Amino acid sequence: MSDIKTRYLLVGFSVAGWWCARAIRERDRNGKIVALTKENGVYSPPLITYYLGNKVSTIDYRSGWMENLDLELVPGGEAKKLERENNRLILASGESFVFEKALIATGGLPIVPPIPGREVTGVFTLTTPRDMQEIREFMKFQEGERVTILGGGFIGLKTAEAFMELGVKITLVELANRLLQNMVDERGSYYLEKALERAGLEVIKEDTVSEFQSREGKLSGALLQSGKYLPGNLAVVAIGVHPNIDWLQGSGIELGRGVIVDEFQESKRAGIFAAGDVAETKNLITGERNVVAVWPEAVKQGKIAGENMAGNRLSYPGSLPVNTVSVGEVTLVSAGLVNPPAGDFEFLTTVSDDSYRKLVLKDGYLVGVILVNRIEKAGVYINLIRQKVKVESFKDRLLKEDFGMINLPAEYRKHLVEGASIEV
Amino acid sequence: MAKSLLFPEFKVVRDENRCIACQVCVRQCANDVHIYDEEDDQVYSQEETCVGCQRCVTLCPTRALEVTKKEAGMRPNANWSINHLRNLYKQAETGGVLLTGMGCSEDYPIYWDHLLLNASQVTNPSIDPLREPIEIKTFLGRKEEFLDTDWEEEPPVLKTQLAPQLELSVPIMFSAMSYGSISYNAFRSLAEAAQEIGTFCNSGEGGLHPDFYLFGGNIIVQVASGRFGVHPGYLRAAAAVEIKIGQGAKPGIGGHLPGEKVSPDVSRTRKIPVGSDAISPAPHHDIYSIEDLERLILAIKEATNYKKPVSVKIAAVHNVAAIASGVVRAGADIVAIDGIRGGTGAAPQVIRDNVGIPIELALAQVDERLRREGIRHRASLVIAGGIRSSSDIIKAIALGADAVYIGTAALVALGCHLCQKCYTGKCNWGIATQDPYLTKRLNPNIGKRRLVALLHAWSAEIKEMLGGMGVNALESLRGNREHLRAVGLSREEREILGVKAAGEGW
Amino acid sequence: MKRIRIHEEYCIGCRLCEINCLVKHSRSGKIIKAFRGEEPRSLPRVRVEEEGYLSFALQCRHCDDAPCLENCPTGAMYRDEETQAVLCDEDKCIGCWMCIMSCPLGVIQRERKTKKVASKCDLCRGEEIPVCVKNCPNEALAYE
Repeated sequence: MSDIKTRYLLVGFSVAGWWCARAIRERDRNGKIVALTKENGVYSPPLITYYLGNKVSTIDYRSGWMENLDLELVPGGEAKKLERENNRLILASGESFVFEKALIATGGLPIVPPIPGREVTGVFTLTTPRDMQEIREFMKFQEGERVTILGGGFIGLKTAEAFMELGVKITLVELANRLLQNMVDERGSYYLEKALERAGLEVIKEDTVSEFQSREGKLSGALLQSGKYLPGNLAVVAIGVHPNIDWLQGSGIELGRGVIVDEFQESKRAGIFAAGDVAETKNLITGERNVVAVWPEAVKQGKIAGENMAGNRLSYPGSLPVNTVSVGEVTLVSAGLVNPPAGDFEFLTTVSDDSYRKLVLKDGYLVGVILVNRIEKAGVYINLIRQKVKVESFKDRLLKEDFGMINLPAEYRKHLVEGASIEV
Repeated sequence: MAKSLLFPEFKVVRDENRCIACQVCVRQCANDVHIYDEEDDQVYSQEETCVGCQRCVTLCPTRALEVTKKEAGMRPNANWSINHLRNLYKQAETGGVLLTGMGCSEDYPIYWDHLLLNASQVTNPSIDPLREPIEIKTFLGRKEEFLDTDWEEEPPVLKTQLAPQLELSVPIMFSAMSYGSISYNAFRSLAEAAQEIGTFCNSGEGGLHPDFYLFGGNIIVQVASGRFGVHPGYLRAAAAVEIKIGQGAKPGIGGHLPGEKVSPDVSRTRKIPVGSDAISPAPHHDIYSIEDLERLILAIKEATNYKKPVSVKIAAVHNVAAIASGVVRAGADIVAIDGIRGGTGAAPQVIRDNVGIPIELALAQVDERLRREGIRHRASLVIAGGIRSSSDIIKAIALGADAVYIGTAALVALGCHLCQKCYTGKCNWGIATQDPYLTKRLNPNIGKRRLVALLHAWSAEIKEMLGGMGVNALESLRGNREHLRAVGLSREEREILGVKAAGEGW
Repeated sequence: MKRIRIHEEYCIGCRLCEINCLVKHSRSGKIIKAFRGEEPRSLPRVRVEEEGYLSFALQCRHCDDAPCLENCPTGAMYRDEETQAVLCDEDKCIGCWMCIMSCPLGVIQRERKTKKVASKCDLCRGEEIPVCVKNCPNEALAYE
């Protein structure tokens, strides 16, 4: 099979890939773009759980700007190998592409720990439309009276949220002493747990599944480390994802937990960029390298990669973990360093029956925020973190009931409010 | 504590079918008349403190509010009016001089309303101002008796040196209202409007805020008995200087800016400490005679290199004609006369309502006297005190005025509703206050626009009236009392005004 | 594009912008009914912020690089071709609040009842001048 030549090759076409394509198109109207996706088409990953929970009727990302990208989409295009010496990429199907610039945006794969019985029918992961379809099919033929979800992190909760809509009994098993280990502290978790309980969901903390037990190859229940047994024929392993980089072994690209990139989102191989859940970047606050697999960072990284692939030289300020979850009547936003290591950190908190706000400050700067309910001003706090605005002079106002733009330094405020465009 | 016998002056009527408890009234009332009850989700009103400024009524989005005069329930008594009773109660409780704001509101005759204008018919054609130019430009300052011209030169050369003049595109100026008595935004509106129109506003006795030096070419600065904010730069910045001897609202007494209105900015402008009362003495302590006045006029002319006209403002009192004659002889280029209806930011009510004479009579007498003495040309006459409309202005010109000052009318254009509470510093319209929460309410861009619109409208009306009389220049109407006729006035009043009765021909 | 400019020095904190915005986005469009007859009451999309003597009305700035639009996982947030306004297609909105989390000005609200639809300034779709600007008694808002 002969090579397909392209100026830009996007390996993986999800959030980071879309915004990369868009950024390329803004600078280069004509350069050929080929986008590979191992799925059947383009979809919005966060919608998978919403679709399972019957809250949306499609998982398509439906926005006008996507239609005008003028690119060649290759569905089912799973990347298998990147040649070490050449800019040539080979697919599992055998097709090969020769490119000038490439973006690696292959995202993450679910982590499934080596728990005995993980291969039996009834144990699923839920990160792709295929997973979702399989669960749907499975539930059609089973009395899904009880679901065990392993993992009380972001994906676990999103999964729980979906099943809650389906009216099944859910048990959430989390190894740590709190839910959303990376996003909240124990108090933040408390509000979530209460909301889950009120919604009829059982939460088991400091425990994990030691074995998936089966009958005739079908899941019959989960045995926990504590000895507790959770009967049921449906379980979802939702511990998290890890970057999909195995296919890059031997390609000459430096790999850590993910694809290691510099501030231009470029890997060690010139012309090959990475963005999104597969990229390992510097953390905005700590400066440590890690993979921050959240939508807003994927957008930012994708845009910067696209700009730079098309000849610009923009740098990425660093990744900031940010996310939001709603379960029952509780809505939560978390950003930055919310459980800092021991050290010189200052904490500002307000606690009430139905809301909790925690701000983490270091050297007069805001570095982390947790908001439980009353989240309307979340973006204001997060932008203070992103823009590294010194908050020392007005920190007494940060947790005021009616905190808003008006409390910010006039210059910063006017830049945001008066500026025709906002750089965030 | 003894129960106060004062009763509310106004009644707040809230149409509960319309009120949406949006609290606009609550937020807009500086007198705390409206109170929102969160538990009931309802707004209640306590009318004791209502001053009838109509701010809430104007801003209420559902027109649910009405503020009307409250009828006091006492038996009607022509002698003991409600106002007298209220003042009695108030003074019995406070033991103080009652203060008030704006001009005299007593029911004295308004002579403008008894004067009628002439128009052309058949024998002298009227002029259509839309087709033909009508000149209303006015020059204020001393005019020469003779113009010495060298006709030998080609072209001929004027040898007489002309006295400095103020050039007004309309015969209307804004009266003295100090920054302090009115807000920064109010002053800014006046200054910007004066500049746009091509006329003048007056600094009052409050000095000149640094921002307003920019408008100096359109500002007359005042030198009053307190001498607040007076320094060489102040005199130099202005187009003219006015020595304030008296004010129509309070002839014979000084000024008093309450400390509440002396904000940091006002303090800088007046050169007095923040929060201290600014007291202008009743007389200038260096002026006890016409000769003393002459010395001050000369000193100011000297300080300004004889480049600027000097005006002297006096209140219309019984002997105004003789006083004005002295003022002209002392070297004033402009004599400003303020009648009994002239406004103020603060004055004792008893003075405001009982001292002075109507400006119409004062004007007629001053003009007459100066003419008789042959010195009318030596100074321009500017009158002030209750000018309400373009017809008042044109009648004033026919009675002998060169131009008018408007104060209250300008403030009304800016939103004033004549609640007469300027002295409290809590003007809900953002005009007579220094409270930063209230001053924001007057956007000077809007204020300027409204003032400019008002002067445009009055100019157009003046031109219409002039055209009707067949007069194509305001100059030709000045002092021409044949264009006026009186209705409903006694022979004595007509004689003082120098105006024939309606029905009399030439 | 035309934007709403804020002149905070002239904001008098009357909140007539909020009131008129609420009415404009109510079901009836009639002020008394919108406040007294409609349950739940609709939300204003402009909010007056106050601190001391300072106040201003703040609504969506319709940023050029609108982070709410970029971070919306459904494509519900979109830019209107004609007015360049950033609008929310309420049918597509799933109430995930990514937009709220992204907005540096904090001007996106959650709808009180449905808790599903982000309510934000739409520049009064179809109006020549947005109602907050039109009804500001002191011209503290300008559309230019």
